[in-house]
Amino acid sequence: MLEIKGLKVKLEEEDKQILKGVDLKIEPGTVHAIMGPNGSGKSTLSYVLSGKDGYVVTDGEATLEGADLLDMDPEDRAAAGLFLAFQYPVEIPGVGNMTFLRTAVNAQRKSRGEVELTAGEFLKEVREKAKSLQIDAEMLKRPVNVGFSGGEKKRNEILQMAMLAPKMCILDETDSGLDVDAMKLVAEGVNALRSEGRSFLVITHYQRLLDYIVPDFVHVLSDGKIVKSGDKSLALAVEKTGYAEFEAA
Amino acid sequence: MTDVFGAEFLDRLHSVGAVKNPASFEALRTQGFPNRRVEAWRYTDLAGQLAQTLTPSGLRINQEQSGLFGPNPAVQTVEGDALSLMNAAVGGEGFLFEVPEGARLKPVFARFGPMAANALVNATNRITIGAGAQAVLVERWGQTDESWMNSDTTIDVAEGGHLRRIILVEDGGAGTQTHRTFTTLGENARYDALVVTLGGGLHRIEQHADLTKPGCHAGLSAIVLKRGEEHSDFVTNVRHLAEDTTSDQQVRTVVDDRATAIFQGGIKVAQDSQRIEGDQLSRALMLSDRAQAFTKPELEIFADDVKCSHGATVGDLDQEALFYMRARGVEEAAARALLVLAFAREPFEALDLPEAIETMLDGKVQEWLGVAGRFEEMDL
Repeated sequence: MLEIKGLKVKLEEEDKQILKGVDLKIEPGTVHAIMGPNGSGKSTLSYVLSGKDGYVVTDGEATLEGADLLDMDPEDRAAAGLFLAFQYPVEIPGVGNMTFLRTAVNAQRKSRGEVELTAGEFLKEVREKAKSLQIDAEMLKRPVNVGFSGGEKKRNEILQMAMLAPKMCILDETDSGLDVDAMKLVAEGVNALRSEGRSFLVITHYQRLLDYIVPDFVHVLSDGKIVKSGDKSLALAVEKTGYAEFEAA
Repeated sequence: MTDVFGAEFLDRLHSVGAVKNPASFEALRTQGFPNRRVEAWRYTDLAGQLAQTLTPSGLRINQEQSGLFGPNPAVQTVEGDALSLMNAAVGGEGFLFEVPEGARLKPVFARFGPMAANALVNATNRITIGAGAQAVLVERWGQTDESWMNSDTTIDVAEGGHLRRIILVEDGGAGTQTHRTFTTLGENARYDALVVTLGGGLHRIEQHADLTKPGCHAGLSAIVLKRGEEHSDFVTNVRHLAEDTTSDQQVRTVVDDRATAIFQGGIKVAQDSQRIEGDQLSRALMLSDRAQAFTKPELEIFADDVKCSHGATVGDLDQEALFYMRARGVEEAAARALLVLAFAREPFEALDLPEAIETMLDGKVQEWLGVAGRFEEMDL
């Protein structure tokens, strides 16, 4: 599904290398977790994969189902099936949540040569999916993320994910700022989307989220490199000993 | 006597027999048009307009509802203003819109123009809102290229009356529109104006409001969308002449290419006018490095118990929001359009407009952005 080879990335503004050669292969239907301390490059990885400005790829490649991701505009990556659940979902005053989501759904469909959803079709689907995430009509009506609590913002991300039905989902610290109940709700939403053809990359500081979204593989990212990979027991080991043990040599 | 600014333009008007009011003409011929050394005209140069040879013609009113509109044969002169003098000199007849005491009208739509090329239209309009009456008036001023529409509108809103007025100024090409409104508000009266200017060569829209009795309110807002070489100068002048009066000015400007937009926002509070609130916020979006936006707040406050605020921002679109939308698959042009649309809609809130009018204005902005019909509203 997603294959990253020798990815090296620096910041555009300053000559600072953030990723120093990341290798990662994610098979269809699997859930991978990346853990790492602050500044290890976790968020940079998610932004580079989704096409945010401000980063320069100095070496390596990243492909989604064989297609070169790094060469595409962000919207084309999305249409190709990549989804990033933001650590800090952006508030967009004046743009209705539903107008935005329908524009996104139909832009992707159009880009893939599919028929666009009518307002009726879209609303029927969005109502069903919102209900299971406990998102009420009032939240759907508001401008994108404006006045949403931390938990509401993250649930809105999962709603978008459900509506856009991506193949490769990256969750960037989706647990940050959530209490246990909100985290459970978000995890349930994610688990409901797990399927044979869909893969997940869950980026997190803490093992806690991984109790609810159980990964097939866990990787530790430290100083811009994956320094250790294993199964879910690795997450427990990290929780016990901290990251110091995994500092890159 | 040829050295005043615009002398040759005036002589041409005179030679085609356009002058109907010699006294106004002579006054204008003596003082000339304002050049850029006049502070209020610092940013706007009429030289191109005054170099034209134009044919005076009457105002064409396309009224979409019957009844309340009529011709206004009375020509008033606003003292000292050159463009008002031109209006008076060539005898600009205009429209009369009278709303009787206590009446509550459905929205009234009227269109002015389009007209023949190279026409000079002068119009003097009068609007009266009776005590306790409520009206929503949508004026659309549009024209063909190379013409000049110039108008003065005087408005009286009597005690407890409320006028919401949309002035949509739209031109396909290089037209000039200079419009001035002078509003007088009675006790507890309200005037909420929203000017929307699109296209055109040069638009200068002035809104003057005198708050003469306690409890009255003036809202003078504008949405300015300019590209190419277009030029817009939006001028407000609110005078708080009585205690317990309020005013609000919301200006949202979007400039692209080499366009220029100016906002000169005046709030004046007289010495004995206590308990005043006057707010002003001008925000400009620059979509090109070569576009220009100027904001000039002019606050003159002589009373003590006054809350006045003014703010001005100039910036680009929110890059975080753009990336967020693109990461969801919205192509860049549509993402930008959604953000501009949201920005331009901000003054709507204070007006509480009927939905049909908001939809019409939304449509105009979407048309300007080249995304007409793309983002329809959905009822949940």
